[in-house]
Amino acid sequence: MEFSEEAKREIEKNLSEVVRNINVDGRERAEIVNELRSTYYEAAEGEARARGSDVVSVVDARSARASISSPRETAESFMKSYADTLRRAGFWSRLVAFVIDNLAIFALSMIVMAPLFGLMLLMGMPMQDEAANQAWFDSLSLTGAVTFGIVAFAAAVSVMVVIFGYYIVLEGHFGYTPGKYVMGLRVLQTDGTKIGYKEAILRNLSKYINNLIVIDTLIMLVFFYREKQRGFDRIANTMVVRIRS
Amino acid sequence: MQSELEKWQKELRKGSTKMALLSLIGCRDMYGYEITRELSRITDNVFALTESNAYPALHLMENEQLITSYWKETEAGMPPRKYYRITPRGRAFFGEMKKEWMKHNEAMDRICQYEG
Repeated sequence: MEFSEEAKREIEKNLSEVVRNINVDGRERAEIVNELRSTYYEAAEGEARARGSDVVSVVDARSARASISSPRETAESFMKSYADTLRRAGFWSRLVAFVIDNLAIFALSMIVMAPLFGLMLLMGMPMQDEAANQAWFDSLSLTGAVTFGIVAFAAAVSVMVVIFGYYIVLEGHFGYTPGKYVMGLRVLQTDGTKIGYKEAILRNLSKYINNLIVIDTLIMLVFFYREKQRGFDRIANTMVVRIRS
Repeated sequence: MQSELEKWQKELRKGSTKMALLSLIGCRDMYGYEITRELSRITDNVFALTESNAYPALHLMENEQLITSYWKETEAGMPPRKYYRITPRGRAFFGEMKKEWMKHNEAMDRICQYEG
């Protein structure tokens, strides 16, 4: 049976939709996708045969998609079954990931502040006490003061972006941070599907409010030890799992 | 009422998926799409299993070592198929399941026929 290029593209489009919504490792992912590819091909071939054609067209590929479960449904179902087999990550591995991430945030902050530090040295800022710094600032020309102000403002904004963006953007987009990656951890929704930005914001709120993360972690250790969820994980419906044993 | 019945039917199907899959794979090595099609055909769509339910169940059964799988090239132009084969452990487990199923059915029959 021959497949038109358009039909093949349609099938690959369905597959990429499944891939987008599953959060399992490379080899296992390839296995799932190959099996589904074979299913979509078989179903499309069946459709073409049913209408008496020996070329599978895009119409057959679309009918095949309608006759078997939708890609999203398939992905969700896979992740639900995986969720039951995944081991939840406990306190220690998550603490190590947290320390790694905070070191990374510190390093990134230093990098984005480097231009400001460079400028401070270049312009001969005394960096002793506040009075000396103030006197130094007052002695600057208008151009000098404006340049310094802009660079200092840009550095402050960049540090804020690093601090707030790190957990939210990385977890919201990839489902893990560098620290979690090193420790073999992933953040998933409790039904096993990928988390989005909404979940990433909710579960990380306690990291941004004064020491709330300590209380939040204590809540996990005391009340949700078996579920291994912080209070804000409960609110966001998320869990941290181990993808390597 | 209808949705209550549907909910119950879903539970019933969920509980018997593993047995249905083992029963079919026990007859001969089969690939996923073939399994779902055969199940619908032999039960006149009463036991229609969607791909989204069948594949995760098959993968879990593979983890439990009740079945194994292998890839096989088929006709030209078609991607290889993943075939499932029952393991001795799966066969033994299916035997036990079948015995329990019969016992359960008989018991349910008696319950339904009970007149006080």
